[in-house]
Amino acid sequence: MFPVYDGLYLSLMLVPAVFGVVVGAVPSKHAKAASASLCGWSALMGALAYPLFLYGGTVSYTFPVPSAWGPYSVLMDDLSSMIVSISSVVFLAVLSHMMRSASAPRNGKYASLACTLFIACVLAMCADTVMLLLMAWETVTLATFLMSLRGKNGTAAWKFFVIAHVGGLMVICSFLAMASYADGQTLSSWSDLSTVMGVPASCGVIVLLFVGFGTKLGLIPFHVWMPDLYSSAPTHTSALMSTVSSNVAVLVLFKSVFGYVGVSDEMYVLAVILMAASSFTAIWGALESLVQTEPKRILAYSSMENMALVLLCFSLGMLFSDGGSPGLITMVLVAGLFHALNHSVFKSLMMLTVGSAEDCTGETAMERMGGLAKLMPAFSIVSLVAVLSMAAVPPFNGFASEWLMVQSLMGGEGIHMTEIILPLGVAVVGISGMMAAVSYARLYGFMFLGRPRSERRVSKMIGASSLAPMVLLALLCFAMGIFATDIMGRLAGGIGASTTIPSDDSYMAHLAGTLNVPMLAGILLVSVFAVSGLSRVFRKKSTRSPTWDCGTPLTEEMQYSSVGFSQPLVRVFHPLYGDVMELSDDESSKDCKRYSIRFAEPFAERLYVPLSNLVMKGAKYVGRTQNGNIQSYFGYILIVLVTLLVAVRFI
Amino acid sequence: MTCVILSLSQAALMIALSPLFAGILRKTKARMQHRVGSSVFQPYRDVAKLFRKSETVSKDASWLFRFIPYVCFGSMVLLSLMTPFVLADVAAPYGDLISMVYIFTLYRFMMVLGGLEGGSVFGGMGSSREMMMSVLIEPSLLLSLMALSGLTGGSTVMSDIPPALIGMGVIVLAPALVLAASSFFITLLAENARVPFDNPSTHLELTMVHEGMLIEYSGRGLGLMELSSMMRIMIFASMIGALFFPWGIALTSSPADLAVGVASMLLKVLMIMLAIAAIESYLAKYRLFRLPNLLTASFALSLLAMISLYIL
Repeated sequence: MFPVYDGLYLSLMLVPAVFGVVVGAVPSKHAKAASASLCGWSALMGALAYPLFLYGGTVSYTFPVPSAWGPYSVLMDDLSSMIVSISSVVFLAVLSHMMRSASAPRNGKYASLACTLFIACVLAMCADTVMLLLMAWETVTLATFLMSLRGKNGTAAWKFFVIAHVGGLMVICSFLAMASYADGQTLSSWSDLSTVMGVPASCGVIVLLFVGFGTKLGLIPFHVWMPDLYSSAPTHTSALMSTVSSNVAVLVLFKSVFGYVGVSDEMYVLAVILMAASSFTAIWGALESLVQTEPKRILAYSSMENMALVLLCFSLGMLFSDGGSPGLITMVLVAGLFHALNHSVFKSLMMLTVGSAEDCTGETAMERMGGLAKLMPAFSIVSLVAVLSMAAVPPFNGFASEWLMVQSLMGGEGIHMTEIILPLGVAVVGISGMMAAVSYARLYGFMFLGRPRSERRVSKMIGASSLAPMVLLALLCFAMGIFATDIMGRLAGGIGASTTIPSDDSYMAHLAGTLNVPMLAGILLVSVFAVSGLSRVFRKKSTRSPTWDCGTPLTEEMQYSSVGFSQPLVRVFHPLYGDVMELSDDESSKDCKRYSIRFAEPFAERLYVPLSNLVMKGAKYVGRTQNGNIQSYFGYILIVLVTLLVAVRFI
Repeated sequence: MTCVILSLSQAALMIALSPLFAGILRKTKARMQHRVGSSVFQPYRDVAKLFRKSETVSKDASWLFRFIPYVCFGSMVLLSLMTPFVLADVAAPYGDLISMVYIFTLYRFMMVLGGLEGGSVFGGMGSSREMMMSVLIEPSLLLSLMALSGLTGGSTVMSDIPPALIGMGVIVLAPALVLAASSFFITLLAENARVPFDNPSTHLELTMVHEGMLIEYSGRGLGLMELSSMMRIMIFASMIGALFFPWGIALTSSPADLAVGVASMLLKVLMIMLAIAAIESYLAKYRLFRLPNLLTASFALSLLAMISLYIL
């Protein structure tokens, strides 16, 4: 593109959002609406990133800001513009849902933080200098942290804050390490640093990057903040966190590992370790999502599972660099990136669905919802689309990316030393995908189907203004499934352009002939509507009657409960769950005992609680030295002085 | 054009024959248990009767409930169009082995949601158990198909597999194929709710899984669901017949080949049905929590198939 237009486009996108940050902070009744609409404009511009890229090519621009750390410049290439576009659409949908949502914070500061988050996400995705990238990444963390603080219950947010900063520290360390080997700050000039760094150093950097970004994506054992935060934060914060900011983490991780560091064939062992970690995370997320009783917690664990599949694809990409063809590496990376994109669309839709359902019913527990499909058919259709895409059911988008994932795992068969790893990988994708599908069936079934599970009536119906953004996202789920092969091809091109992996679409071209989603969807729809049309023509009498239940009146409590629903699987995978049986006296009657089962996150109980106890114990020991006695402080000074003198003498 | 017509007609043949084979299965079982049993054409009469009857829908059910039978039937039509039955070269180039697994997921997912619609205990219990089994089935199903595609050189396209296997000659009867096929056979029993996983002939008992999910359907909806489940077992059987042991399948569309193809396929499906009937007669249904052992065995078999593919 022409340099003038680059600047023009970026200012059209970013300047309104900057104004939005300021406007939102003004204490006025209209601050929220004004700020959110400015941010919406920016997101609309962001959505144009990929069409503009196709029209005018790469956008690169250096901000005219004087700085001691070198210039701040951005580069929006093939891949980043595609991800910016999708993320902006998601952002726009979440924002427009927020405008009329009852549960969204009413003050303008929330909208102002959303503007900040948008700017930070776009900058982090397209940053071309190290400082800008690190600052933007930190701003993403801070903005999401501030957006998730609500009321007095800030524990979950602080947990996130601490863990995200441990991750942030790792990211900073890895970038500093890379910068010390590279010449210059410009990220686009970094490529294949592993040839300069040597294998051990580059392996270290890759581990730091994986774990650093993994804290945001829910890599075990850094996932403990996710369920708590997603369930306690405002809906729109959770929606943006699990989608847009995950996209940022995935994209930056991808560019760093496969572009800046570059993978080489000596990283076999590391790849296997990372693969094991992400497989474990995927299965863990799926397992835990089965026993949660709050929809938002289910979504948190499912985010973790999906992101772990993306990380699995990235580690497979590393594995395949030892003997795999470039086409195969491209394919597995496309699967990962495509899954991240799909996840951002269907997960934001599902978050909005759950948020709206909570607004309508005033309940947060799945056990007390139910029967919403009869009350709000349109809403239930939209959320069925979300659930079906999450469960990887054809012809929606989740299916396309999981299909590509399995396909690339099968295609890698025969590469040296992967004979037994890849079948296990297929098993991981299969079992975690199916467990996730179970938990979505449970989520949908207990929220929407059956009869209402509590006395409370639905107080208000969902409005058209809340439904419209959800319909947009649902259509996107469908469209991304239908045009899957085209998107895969575009992603493959983008990967070739922004990494050192040679562009090779032999596999992708082959696959385009294997999977034809439009035709699949067409035949499915034709056969469904043909049969239902026929049955409409030859209509038979249809009567409504209460569900028969052996003669006794059917009450709400007699329906299968969501806890009971997942119980068979809990029994099968019992040793993995941290389930605690509790026995207590029932207060209502004398001779009754009440049994209850509670699921504690084992990582929180077995890892973090002992860790914090250890730290507290250590602090107590240190505390003993601070006795307030001036003589002992003189003594400490003396000890330090002597030690230093001795050290200086011998060094 | 001939190819399209042939593959449409083989799908039609498959759909048309599926109640017959269900009838044969029931009849064989009855004979093995020293009963006369109903006619082999009884399933046709059952389905026709259900289509003629009026429908009663639960008051608690939503729009989705009426929609589910059509989706289930549609997904089975989709699968029968893509499965090689008589002719190896099917003209439905929209999916492969992996998409087949996911289309089965669509079917199962919809059926499970239908089970939760009525708001009663039976449906929920059936759905819950079905989901437990499907989690354990999925990896072994994927792995046995992976072994199959590994054996034939990495292609997952269904119509590539029979010619490749036939082209390999007798060598193909390696442990890998046999192991993968036996693992696939166990998943067939599990997916189609046969003994020892489920008892297809019980109603209103706490043992039921598949029938539990169908309990709220009546009339046309039930007819479609029954027909889809007959089609499902037919699809699985013809997959064993066409993909794991493809000998006899028509590779070209010459009339002689097609005749041999029809005859050999019907024979193979018949043998599979007889085997299922024998298993159902000689084995009792397993306790629910013993099923994971069997499914783990199936997983181990398919993993062994993968290993033997590379060791031998």
